[in-house]
Amino acid sequence: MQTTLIDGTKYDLRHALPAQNGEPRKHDAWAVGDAEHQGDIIVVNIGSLPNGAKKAKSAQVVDGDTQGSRHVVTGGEVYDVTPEAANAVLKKIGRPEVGSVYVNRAFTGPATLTHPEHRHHEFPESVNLCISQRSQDAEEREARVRD
Amino acid sequence: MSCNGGNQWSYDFSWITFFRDVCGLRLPQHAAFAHYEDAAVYGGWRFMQPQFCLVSERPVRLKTTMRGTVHVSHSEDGPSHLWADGTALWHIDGVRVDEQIVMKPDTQTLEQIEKEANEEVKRLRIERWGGGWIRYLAESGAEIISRELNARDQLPESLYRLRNGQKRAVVVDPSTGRRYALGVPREVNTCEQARSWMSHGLDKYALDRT
Repeated sequence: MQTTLIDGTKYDLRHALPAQNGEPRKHDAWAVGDAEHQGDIIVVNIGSLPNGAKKAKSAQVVDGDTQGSRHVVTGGEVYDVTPEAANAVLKKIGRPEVGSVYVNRAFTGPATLTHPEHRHHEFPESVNLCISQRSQDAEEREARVRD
Repeated sequence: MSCNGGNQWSYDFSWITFFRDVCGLRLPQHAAFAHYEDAAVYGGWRFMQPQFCLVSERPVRLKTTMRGTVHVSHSEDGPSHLWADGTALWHIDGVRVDEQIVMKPDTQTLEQIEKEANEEVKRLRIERWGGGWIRYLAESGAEIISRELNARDQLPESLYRLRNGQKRAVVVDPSTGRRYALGVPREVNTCEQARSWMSHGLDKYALDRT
């Protein structure tokens, strides 16, 4: 397993790329409400597509042209969703609502979520919403993590 | 505006040329494809409009490194891309940066690092600054107030209070091992609270199944 050295201690990188760790992470037991991270993206199984979801032109679940934004779905359908509709579904399944700037696209499984640097994730039949992590900038303004 | 990467997107049509040149497949469509192929063999990026087309020369310097199984733009001793007229792009491990970060990282200031909006670029700023993370935390007057092993990823996390009272969660990416200093609200007092705030409260539903 790939490792990293932090302050003199060696740690396993349990989510390294398939090239290092052999295979995508398989989510055989993936229930509605479960969540998973891929870098700065949080994937939540929301059970059903938000109202008004429309098939997206891109397979990338978050907009951007940097290497870090290349979270790309293979094998499933990707949908544009409105923050309001996405939050309605989050509320329905008992998960916290999030600010509108953090809501990205949704995708259906079975699908694999790939990335040039993060471990890939294989999801079974499901509907998944991608949410950006947040942080504060130097002026203490809240914003989505960008990479 | 429609655009194409020219020589830098040549991987795209290798699917066609492989079957034509290696397998011997001959199709009538190959005649029309020849123009597209020439544009990639002899030119760089192009930006196409109905009335005109801007075509870039191929760069005179193009540097990459392997990241996983793909090549990404990378150079630590000059621009990753350089054109004959002096136009240049700078990249470290596929991340677009500026000349200072590549060539003169020690001339950066703490203010530049703190004001960097892109977390990947901020990480590179810190790592390439002489002294790296140790210097960054020392010069920002950081005092550690919480430290724990993230049970989910089995990686260390720390929460720091800066001289000005702001808080920074220093976390490790479980895919790459890279460290990031992410700003969190002043009322956050533990690593767990920081993780929860950054994930909108969703982190506790992210179960470890490895």
